[in-house]
Amino acid sequence: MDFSGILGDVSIPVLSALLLGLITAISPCPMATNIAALAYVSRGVRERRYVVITGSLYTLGRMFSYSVLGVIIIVAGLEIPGVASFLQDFGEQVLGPLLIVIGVIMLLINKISLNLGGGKLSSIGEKVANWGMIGGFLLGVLFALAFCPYSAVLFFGVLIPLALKSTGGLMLPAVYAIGTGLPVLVFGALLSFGVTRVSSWLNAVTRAEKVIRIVVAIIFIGIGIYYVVLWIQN
Amino acid sequence: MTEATRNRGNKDKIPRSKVTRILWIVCPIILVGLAVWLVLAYGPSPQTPPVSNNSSGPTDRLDVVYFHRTQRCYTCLCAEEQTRYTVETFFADELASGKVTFQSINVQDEANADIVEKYNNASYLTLCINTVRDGTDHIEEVTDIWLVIGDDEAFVEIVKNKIENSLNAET
Repeated sequence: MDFSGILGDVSIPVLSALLLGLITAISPCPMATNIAALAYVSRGVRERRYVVITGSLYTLGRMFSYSVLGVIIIVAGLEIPGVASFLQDFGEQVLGPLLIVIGVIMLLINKISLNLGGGKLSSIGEKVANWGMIGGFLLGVLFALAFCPYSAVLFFGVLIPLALKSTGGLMLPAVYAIGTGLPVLVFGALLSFGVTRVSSWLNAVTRAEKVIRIVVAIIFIGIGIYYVVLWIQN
Repeated sequence: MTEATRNRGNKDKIPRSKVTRILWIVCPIILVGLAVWLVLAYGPSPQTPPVSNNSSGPTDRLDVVYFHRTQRCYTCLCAEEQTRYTVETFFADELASGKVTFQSINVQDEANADIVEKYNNASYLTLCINTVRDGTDHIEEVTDIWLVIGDDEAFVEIVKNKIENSLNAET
């Protein structure tokens, strides 16, 4: 992953910010949250439209968080060490339990709609699907704030200094967010495309979707446990 | 959700499906539009001139300090290992004579509060090179390394060059 050549030559900070976002998204440490996000985004895999909206809202959520951080550091002049320490603590301690809770809730909702697929509950299902898209936004907000050591150095150590010395630097965190959300959006759409085709051949779309929802919940719980174990180990 | 329930849902709640359709169109357009606008609006920025080294006198000592948190990840361990390798391999003589030192510091350990404060309150993964000349500290943060994680050769080259340049800056 040698991006230094590309970044070194680039005199367009916007492009550097986008590349930094991409590096963050595919680096080992933040990969765990991105897999969770990808799983979540691809939940309603039958409808590509749903995947694209949720993926976009997830990216917008990340843009919101990074932009707010950019504003409070660049404009309000809040000290980086305090913010960076707090958000890395948040990433270490809060994210794991939260993912487990979200995973369990998803499992429970899935179970309810499996057992009682009545008229009243199907409308609840609709509401949950609606919330699912808004949930994509909230997930973006949350995952962006949960800094891993590596994403912290890329954001606070590389991106923010770049933003401080660039014209229009205030916009760079938002561009960085697009870079971090793009792989989730693209792979979500590809996954949706693939599953839709395969499933329609097998004529088992609904069944596939139910299985996917359970798998997603398990991925959330699994990644949550992974974070909790990391936290307890130290 | 079966096809039947979905259809019923759509029939009952036309506004919802409209909202979904609008969102489907609007969200990607916003993202793409924003990206294009940003590139156009904030095009090439003036290159910042390289920071000149205005200190004088020979280098008394050079401290390589690596800051990390208690919880270590792949990147943190990898970066420390490569930095240590670079110092021990290419600056063995200086290391033995004490002209070059290497320290790995946990920023969350209270015992390290003084050194953390000295290095601009390091709060995340940070590699610093402090060139001491005439008893004065010249602290520089090495950030290029974070873009070549996974490419050990490039990583070592960056650290090696930084140390060499700092050691030979005045000659």
